[in-house]
Amino acid sequence: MLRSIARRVGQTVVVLLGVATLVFFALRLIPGDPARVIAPTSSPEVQAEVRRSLGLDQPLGVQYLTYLQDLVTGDLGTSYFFDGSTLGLVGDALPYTLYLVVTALALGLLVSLPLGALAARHRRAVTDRAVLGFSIVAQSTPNFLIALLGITVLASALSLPTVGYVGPVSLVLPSIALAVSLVGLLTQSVRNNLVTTLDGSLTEALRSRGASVWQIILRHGARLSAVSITNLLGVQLGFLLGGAVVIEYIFNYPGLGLLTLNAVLRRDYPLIQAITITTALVFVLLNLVIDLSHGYLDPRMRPARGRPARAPRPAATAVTAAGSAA
Amino acid sequence: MNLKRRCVRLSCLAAVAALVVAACAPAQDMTVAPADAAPPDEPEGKVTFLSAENLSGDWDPFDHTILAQDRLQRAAYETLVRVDEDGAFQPGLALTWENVAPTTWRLGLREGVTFHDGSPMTAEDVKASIEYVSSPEVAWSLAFPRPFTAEVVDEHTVDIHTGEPFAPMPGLLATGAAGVVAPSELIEAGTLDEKFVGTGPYRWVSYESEAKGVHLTVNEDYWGETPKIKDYVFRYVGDSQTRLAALRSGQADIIDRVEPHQVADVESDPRLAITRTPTVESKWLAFRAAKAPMDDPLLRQAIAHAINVPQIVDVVLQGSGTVNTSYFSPSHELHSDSPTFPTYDPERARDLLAEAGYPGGEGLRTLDLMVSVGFYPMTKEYGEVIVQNLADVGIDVKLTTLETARYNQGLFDPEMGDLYDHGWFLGSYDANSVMMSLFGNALVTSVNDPEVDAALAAQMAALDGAERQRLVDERLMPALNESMLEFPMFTSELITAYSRNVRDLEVPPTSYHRIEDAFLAK
Amino acid sequence: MSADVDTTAATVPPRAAAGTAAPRQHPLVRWWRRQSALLLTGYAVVLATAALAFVVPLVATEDAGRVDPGRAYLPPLSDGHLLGTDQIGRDLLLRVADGLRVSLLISGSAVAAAICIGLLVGLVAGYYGGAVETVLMRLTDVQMALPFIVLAVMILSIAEPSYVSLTLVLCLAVWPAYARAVRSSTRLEKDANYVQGIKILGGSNLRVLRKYLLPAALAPLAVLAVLDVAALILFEATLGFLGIGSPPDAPSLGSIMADGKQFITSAWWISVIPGLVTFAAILGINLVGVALRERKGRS
Repeated sequence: MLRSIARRVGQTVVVLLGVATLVFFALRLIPGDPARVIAPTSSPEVQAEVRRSLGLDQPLGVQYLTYLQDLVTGDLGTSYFFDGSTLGLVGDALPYTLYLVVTALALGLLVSLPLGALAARHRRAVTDRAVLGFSIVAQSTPNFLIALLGITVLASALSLPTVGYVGPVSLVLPSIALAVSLVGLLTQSVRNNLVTTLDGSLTEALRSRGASVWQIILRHGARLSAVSITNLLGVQLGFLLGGAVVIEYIFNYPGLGLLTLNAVLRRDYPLIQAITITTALVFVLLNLVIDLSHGYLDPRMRPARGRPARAPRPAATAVTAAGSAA
Repeated sequence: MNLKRRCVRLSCLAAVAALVVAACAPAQDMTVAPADAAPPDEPEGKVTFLSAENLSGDWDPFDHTILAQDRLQRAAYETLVRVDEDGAFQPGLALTWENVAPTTWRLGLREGVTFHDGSPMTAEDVKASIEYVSSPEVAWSLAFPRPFTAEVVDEHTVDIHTGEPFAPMPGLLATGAAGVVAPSELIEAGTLDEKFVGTGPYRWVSYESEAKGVHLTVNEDYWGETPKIKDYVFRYVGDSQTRLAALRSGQADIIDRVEPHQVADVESDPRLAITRTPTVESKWLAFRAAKAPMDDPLLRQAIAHAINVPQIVDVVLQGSGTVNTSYFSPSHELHSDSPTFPTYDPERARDLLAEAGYPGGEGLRTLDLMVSVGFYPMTKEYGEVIVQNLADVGIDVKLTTLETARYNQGLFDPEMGDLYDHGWFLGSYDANSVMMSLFGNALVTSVNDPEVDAALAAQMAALDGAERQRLVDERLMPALNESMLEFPMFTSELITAYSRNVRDLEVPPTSYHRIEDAFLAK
Repeated sequence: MSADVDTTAATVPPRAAAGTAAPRQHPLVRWWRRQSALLLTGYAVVLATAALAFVVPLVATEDAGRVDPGRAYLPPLSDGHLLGTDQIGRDLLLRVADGLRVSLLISGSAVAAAICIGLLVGLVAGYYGGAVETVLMRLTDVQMALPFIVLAVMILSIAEPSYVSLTLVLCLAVWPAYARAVRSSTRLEKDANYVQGIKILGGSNLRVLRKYLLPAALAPLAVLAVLDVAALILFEATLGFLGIGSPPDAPSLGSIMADGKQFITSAWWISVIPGLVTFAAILGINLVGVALRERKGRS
């Protein structure tokens, strides 16, 4: 068990190093001179000074090593455009995105768990088809379409804020916009997981002991599909972060998505670096936690002694793909 | 333990909580106070202004070219000379200004003025400020023909030496940051960029992030009348739709650069008011004349004739703006129609193009046109119209849109694109600062034309008004039209929308709204 | 493999289970009866959007990008402009059709490319295992660790905007899923008795890979591919909405919508119509994908 955890952690470090390397070289290959971006009107001497202060006059290899060194010590540089360290900027923005993503996730579960259970209970009946139809429609609706309609139709009618963050009330429209397509994906996944569980031999045994289908769903199905759901949530988090970029842009919401967009539009290299690395870190750690939690959630997943185990990816690969695309 | 059920329960709770909070949150107070509401006795309330343009994040009042920041810093910094609504010069920090010798202007300063840090404002500060701002490494030197020197006569009198005779001095001292006075100690220490330390009615509180904006509060020790609005928040929101939505939901009180098609929306809302100000700002098409093929004046003239400016103003901007007839905007002093100024004439454009060696556009590479988005109204749309207009005479153009902060930086990069759409808003009725910065200092094009430079210098030195007018009409304008380094397409209109509870807000053609004159009605 | 055939053969009668159906029924009718309502609806929506994307430009009488401010803001059903015109007088029907066609082609090619890369990486990793597998799988890990939009926004703001760079970025978004799927199916298959048997009989690695493992790996990708096309249409629209991705003068469903969103109160159609078209395109493909997935799950 310990060995497998160590192995998983080791893999995580390798992945993070890969991400950092990728980001470093991607940014260095950009045509154009960051010094010109920072000090466009200044003299060549000033620009040379800027270049020197950024270390851009060093050979690429030296730059890379310095970069890794800084990275290990947690120094991700200062932003070209905003005051302060990039890590501080990311730290300021991250909680807002987390509020948004968690609220959207909560809303998504709130709708999709009952719907999925309902569909699984009445599988192949009209209810099941209706839920499926609804979930496909929800899954297919672009979140920016919902955001725009929300601003136009709901915002002034309900006096909801549409700009920035003034308090939890600011989460309403953005999180709804973000939750809709999530509801589609989650509902299908919940339903399919429950159906698989209900088809299993356990269900037959329980049924023969007189348990009702709803009881099985609530007591056992939920637990057995917890692995798939947590796994899915790990993937959906990426999907939600992706959606958050657009939603935060539309609502001018001060989260990581808006920061990303601004950083990129302004060619703020250190900030882009910091954002990419931090999000990758959050992402990888979450997936690590999810992987490790599988053993806890489902004893069948615990690795046999001495043999490293990789938790299988969820069956719903299509959802994985959709998640990775966003 | 059933983790999942716990998760579900928690998440349900969270979602319900979010919705409950949403439902219970007090709807923004958007009731409109009675029309005759009187200003309060004590400063109170908070006004949030949403700017269409970003702030630099660096608070040196002299070292930026951002109009939004210029407008903001007017609440904290004061200028030596002010312009009133009628365009007349009024005392600011200087009570008198006088041309005591051809190359010397003497200023008599206001007494009893203190900076926000408590130090008194003296001739030393004026000397330090004017010498700092006119030195070439500082951005606002763009409006100066050369570095000026100053001499302290006594504690409240200062002489400014201009090197050559300089007629537009009062206009310059009222423009942007050129006449701003900052504490000499901070200038010498190089710490001006940390926060605003001026003499104005509002003082600095904080700037945490772009999303929160700059927060100013009332300066209780102001020498003039104490403002009636206590807190003033100034934020950048780079999207006109978002700004309008924020105004409607009560999150903002004043919004900048409302787009023409939004006017009907605002007017239909009884809680909102709108003012439309014809400005002193032209929208320019700058040619990157330092590189081929834009170094050919004939090509530049061809492009100027090919653009259907009247259609852009009338249709795309829905009449919000005025087609230029000269390099000066109609509201500039000394403006008159220039007979050689290019008008929309595709035939002439084709002839000029052929004359330049590109018959029907043949042999000409694809040109890059860059416009900002979110800042000025309808830029992308008229950018697309320009692309079509130029395609119609055979010039192939590719349009690139830039985010505002990026646009503000790219503006001064002579390598950035071939055609660069930009505004140039120096809040003064005297066009000299505009001419000086765009042509004398060639900020955008980085190319000087000798005849334009000579004409500029001549009119600046003409201390007699009629003589200056003649030099502008007969020398400057023809030289500008001929060299065509930048094409001033039209003069823009500034549309500002605000809550009806904000009273006595005026936006003059210089764009310098005075928040200290406004009040919040209850 | 039946799923594969059906995705591409909406109008071609499948190899019907001869003899089991009523003899007098036309093969098309028999095919029709065997499909779920979900799948048929999906096909109908896909056909309709495909017609919009590919047929409209053929019958158009003018260039889709023609700017004419003189006819701006015409509402839908105006003379000569079925879906109206936008803020500078471009015909919205032609523009939306153009955007949709580009979107479909780009998403389709990106998925096709992703399948190729996924097959190559997955087969090698699954069959040879060892260091190759570790490196390849860590590579896909790195890639999956990045919230993709950050990477996409980064790359596209750096690269010269073009359809090629856009396609490559979209492909980058989805290929790891294919590599992983192919790898796991290959790993299962290669230990199967028949593969071991062929190897004992002297079959070369290449022959095993090509003749047995490749087809086995391909089959499960079909549903994934269909759903990914939908996901990428959405993703492409998102990038367009953010103003990155496609060349600025080329219409993209997302960018038309983003440009039109400021006129939503005065001229709703400019943003709502491309939004609905995006929705319809994604919906149709998702319906087909989910229906196929269901059928596979059942069989």
